[in-house]
Amino acid sequence: MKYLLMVAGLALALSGCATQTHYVDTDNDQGSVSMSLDYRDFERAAAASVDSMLASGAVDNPNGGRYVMVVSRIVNDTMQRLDTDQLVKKIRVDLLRSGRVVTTTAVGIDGAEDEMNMLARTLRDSEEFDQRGVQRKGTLQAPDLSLSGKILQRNRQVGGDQQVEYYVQLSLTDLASGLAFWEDETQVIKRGSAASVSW
Amino acid sequence: MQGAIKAVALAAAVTALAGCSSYQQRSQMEAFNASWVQGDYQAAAEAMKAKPGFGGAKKAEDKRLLQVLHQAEAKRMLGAHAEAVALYDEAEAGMKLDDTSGVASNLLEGGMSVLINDAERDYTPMLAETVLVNTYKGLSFLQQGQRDLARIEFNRADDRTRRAVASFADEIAAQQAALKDGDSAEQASISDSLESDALQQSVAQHYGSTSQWNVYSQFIVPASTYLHGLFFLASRDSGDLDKASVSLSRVADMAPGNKALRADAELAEALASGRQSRQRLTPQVWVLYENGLGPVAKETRFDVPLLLFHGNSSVPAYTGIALPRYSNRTANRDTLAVQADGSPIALEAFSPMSKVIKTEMQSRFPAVLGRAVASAAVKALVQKTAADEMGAVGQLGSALFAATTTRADLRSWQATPAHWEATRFDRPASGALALSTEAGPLGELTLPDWPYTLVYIKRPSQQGPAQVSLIDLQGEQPGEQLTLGAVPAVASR
Repeated sequence: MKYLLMVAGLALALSGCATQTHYVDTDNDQGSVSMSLDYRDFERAAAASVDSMLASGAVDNPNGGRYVMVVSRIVNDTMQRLDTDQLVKKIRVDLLRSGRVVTTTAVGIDGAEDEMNMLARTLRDSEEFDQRGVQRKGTLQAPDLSLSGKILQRNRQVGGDQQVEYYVQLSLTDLASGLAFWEDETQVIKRGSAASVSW
Repeated sequence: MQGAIKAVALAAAVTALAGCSSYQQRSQMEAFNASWVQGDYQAAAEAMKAKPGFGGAKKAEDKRLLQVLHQAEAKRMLGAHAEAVALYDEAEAGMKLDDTSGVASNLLEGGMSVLINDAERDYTPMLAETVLVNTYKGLSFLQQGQRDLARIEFNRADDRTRRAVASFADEIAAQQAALKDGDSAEQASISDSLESDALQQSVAQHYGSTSQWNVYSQFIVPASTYLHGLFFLASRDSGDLDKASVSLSRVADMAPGNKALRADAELAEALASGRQSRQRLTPQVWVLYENGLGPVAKETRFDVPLLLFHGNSSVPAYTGIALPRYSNRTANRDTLAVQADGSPIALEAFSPMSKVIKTEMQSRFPAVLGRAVASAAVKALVQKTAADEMGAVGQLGSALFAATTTRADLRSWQATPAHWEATRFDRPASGALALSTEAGPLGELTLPDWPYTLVYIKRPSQQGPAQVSLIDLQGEQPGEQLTLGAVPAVASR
């Protein structure tokens, strides 16, 4: 009986040590920082890039109206499996909110982001559909600008610590001229334990 | 008296457990090797299934790391690349756990290592093995046409190579700190023994001087660095050619006289500098052949003089230590011949695993020797105390304990090759490539029409078939895997 109580007490003590699930205030997250890129780094990098892009005037259309942007390839040259769409989505949302840029989902480096753009057009001449609502030819908007980039990672030993440097490099290319109207690099530098690899 | 009896009983129990786990590991490895040599990779993977832990629960990744490594490579040989990647991911998780396990865990492992032997620690892979994990994963991703994921793995392999020098220094520094942090008689015995000329001479006499080994000037797994270079050479992304040039030059520098490697370094440099246009480059084919079985560790036992402090006096005593010594297994003597449009193409050997392992062992040897000497000193002091307190019974029991637990850690990942061989040539007009050995033809390949094709061949033994992978180095198309020779060819896409 005495042993049973001891085991039960130990189990209770251990369960008390487990972290309870809780919501995180993403605007003021003081949680521990890992050596890998997390959502806070993406948010900061995206916000800095959009601020830089808007301040540069590169997305101010002299003819008025909004530019149409396509997302090209964002190369993940890190040691981490990242979803680069996570970074790009934040940039797209902020740009859309600025009222100066809209992103096309009809074309993309690996095909259309939204295949429904073309699928909806296959309804032409179908007797099953009211043709007044079917998309006409020549309505899709070609992109004016292309957003491409690379996320680089460089690790180095600094004293007894490991320094992990991430560089988020983005370019905005004017597709009419092929010139990069805007380019920017955001750095995320972290220093921590060298006991293991950074990923 | 009662305490001493308990200590000897505990030691006997620990010895029995240690012997049991060592036996299990040895028998698993024997079963793996028997299947691996025959080319029966399904059986090899089965042989290395990790036994469940306490209460039937799955063991943590670091506790079954050695098994997972063997299983992963067997799956890759079977062409089950998604499974292989998942297992290699588990292996990486295990390595991370091993690196970052808490102080308590490290102390316990360190204590077990000293009280029993290194083989009682969780398996800590050699750095060369960790580099190969990411290289093989990179190849599996390329095989599946997933270039973005392959890039990450080749970057990881490169970073692990970079970390090597610091890792060796850390291992030695941690051990020196452990000896200096206390002032117990045991620590003084170990420290003084390690620094004594007599011990160093004994080690040099029985084990040989590690400074005489044929090693690379710095840690490298040339085959991994080479594949890192080839991947970035084929990539069309900006900045990648510089990475390719650095890696391929480094590999060529490590193998002077190897014309194939030098030609690749020159190609990367010419492309990076713009002297060679990528558009004017005819489609290129690389053949990379992973030949034979890599080295395995064997035990070397010998007596060393230890300076044991007992009371206020230092007593010299000869005590046995056991160290791992790597010995080569065989490469296939049955030379692989490659023919394209009737012309023979020679492969050149590089990246011998024996040299890679020796380069690493040379750096880690002070730490390995330190642990062996610490273990021997502690056991000698236990013997002396047991003899003083329990007389002949105590002396006999503790001597038996010391004799049975003085063992070297002989574990290693045995799915690595003896060496690699490489060549590069323009894609033959016919697209046909014939592979043969002195024993006869292995088979004919139809090369896909890719600008950068890698024909990756792995054949652990002449008794088994050759696994041949056709890989698009740009990772845009899924590859093809074939089994040639020894058993009927089977293709899987």
